[in-house]
Amino acid sequence: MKLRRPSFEQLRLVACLAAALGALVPARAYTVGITSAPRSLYLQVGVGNMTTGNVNTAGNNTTQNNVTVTVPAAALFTGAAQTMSTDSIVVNSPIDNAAYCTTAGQVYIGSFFRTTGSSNNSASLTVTTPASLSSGSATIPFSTIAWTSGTNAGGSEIPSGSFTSTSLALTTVAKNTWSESCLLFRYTNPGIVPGGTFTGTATYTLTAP
Amino acid sequence: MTNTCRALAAVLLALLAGQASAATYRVDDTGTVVGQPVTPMRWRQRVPGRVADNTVEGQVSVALRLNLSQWVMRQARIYMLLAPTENERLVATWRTQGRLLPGSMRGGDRMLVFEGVVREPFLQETILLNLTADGRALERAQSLQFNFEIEMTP
Repeated sequence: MKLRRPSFEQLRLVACLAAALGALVPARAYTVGITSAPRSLYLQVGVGNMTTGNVNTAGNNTTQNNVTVTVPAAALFTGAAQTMSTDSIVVNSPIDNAAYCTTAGQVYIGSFFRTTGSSNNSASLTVTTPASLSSGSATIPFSTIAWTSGTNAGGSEIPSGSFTSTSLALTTVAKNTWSESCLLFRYTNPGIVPGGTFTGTATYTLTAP
Repeated sequence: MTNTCRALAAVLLALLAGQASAATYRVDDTGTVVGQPVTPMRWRQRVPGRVADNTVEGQVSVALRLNLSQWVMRQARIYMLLAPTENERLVATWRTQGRLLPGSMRGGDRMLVFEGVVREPFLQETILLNLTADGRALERAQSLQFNFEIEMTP
């Protein structure tokens, strides 16, 4: 077999074709990677840490507020419910500082669930308590504490109720919106109980899927 | 390339670039550097308001390097294209240092960023991309693909 060397003109043509076709190879595109925004949960029972401004910012607050009542002697054994007071000073909504829990003794409870996704998921607000309020070895059922829900602005998402169970589902919090409630607690004063200062802790928990 | 070679290249490009846009070519942006490999999107309102704003946003600078060596001293228009995105509400807005036009686009758009005579073989420009989207619809990481086309004008 006889090999023939390509001429200079032939080589030049091949080079031209290669250069021309090289220009047709799809040019690369630059790529910008993006990630979804972070999820977050916020729950405020009584005093919280929300800085209201052009853009609100949330923080932690470890304050544990109290609701208390001293049953006057005249009310003993009468069954007359006794409205409880609170050391929470939150009257205005932390969303926009609008007057919200203006009735004396109301406890503000607010929460939100910030999340991505188009599915209709929501967070759950629950409360847990021990079975009883205690004073030394004496006890009173926690179910003797009830609440009335209502706000100055009308909407209060947690329904009225009482601690009928040691674990209660209070409401669901739709994603990317606030849930707000004002609760006015009362001692139902059901009957004869031993003397003492009875205490117990209700723990509110917001859970997201 | 020699003049013959350039002519051949031009003929081939004209034949193969498509009948509808006979003088439109993809621009090689090799050497373009994106400021960060991944841009984290953040809620404009980390805390929802009474009226929820679910916009997420992110910013990234991009140092562009467009190879225009084939079109030096030619009258041209350059377009930036964004490939269709999963999140149809995603909007890319960019500011420039003046060599390219600023603008705004959505996935699938083609926006004019330059019109005039190509003076140099490489056009280098840093743009600041501002990306916004509906955070509820942006569930996972995505890649946004930008590229450039050049169109010869008579």
